[in-house]
Amino acid sequence: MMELNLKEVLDERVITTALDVKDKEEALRKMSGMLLANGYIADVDQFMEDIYLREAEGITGIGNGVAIPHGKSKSVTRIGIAIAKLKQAIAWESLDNQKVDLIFLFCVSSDKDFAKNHMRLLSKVAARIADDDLLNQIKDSGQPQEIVSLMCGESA
Amino acid sequence: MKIVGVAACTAGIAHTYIAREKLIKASELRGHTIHCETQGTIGVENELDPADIKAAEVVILAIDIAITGMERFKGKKVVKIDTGTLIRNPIAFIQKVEKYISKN
Repeated sequence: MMELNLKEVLDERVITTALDVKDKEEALRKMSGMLLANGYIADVDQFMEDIYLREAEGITGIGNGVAIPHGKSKSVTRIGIAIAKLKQAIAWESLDNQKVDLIFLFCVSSDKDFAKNHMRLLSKVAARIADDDLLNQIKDSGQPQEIVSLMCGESA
Repeated sequence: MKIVGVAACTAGIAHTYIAREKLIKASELRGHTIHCETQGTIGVENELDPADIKAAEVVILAIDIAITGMERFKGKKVVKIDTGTLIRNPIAFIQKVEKYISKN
């Protein structure tokens, strides 16, 4: 039941398994571009600005090569999450001072009443990121569809 | 031991929920019983039952911001940690809490 619901906020069109970027700025810009192309945000520059506002508040690298930046922005028109596996690890402010090669970019409206049911689903997706075994499976996976299945708790 | 906890981060979008999962997993791995509430952008979820608070030997606050409902923990042993430190090393944190409780 819950598994089916999570699919409402997981979208293979905004998941990439081989993002080729040299730094954080480029990673965020390319991931924002994916969100723009698929109708999640209206403006890449505004969205990027809001991501960096959150980045200034605290570290979003949570260790083991994983980062969870969030864009809480008025440019968001649809709630979701962009996921990128990177071809090579990049520098990122992290709890364990390690580089990052897996990014979950939360795409959230700054209007707190916007799509509350989707926000609730997104919090369940966030909870899944606490599972180290799942993260390792994602790092080994080759297809966006596979990542959606793993995040939903289905065996790939 | 019996634990109750609250998780809350600055944005209330991701760290809050990751911290809750890590806290629950680490507590259970160490053989404890835990109930954990979240206070995020979507409001309070998994709200603590007053009976669980009463029975708890310790209250763990994995928080980066002020939370609501602190009066519920009056007279209880409270251990506070930021969500980042908890996420980074949940088992080590629970072991610290165990030591603290055994000494106090």
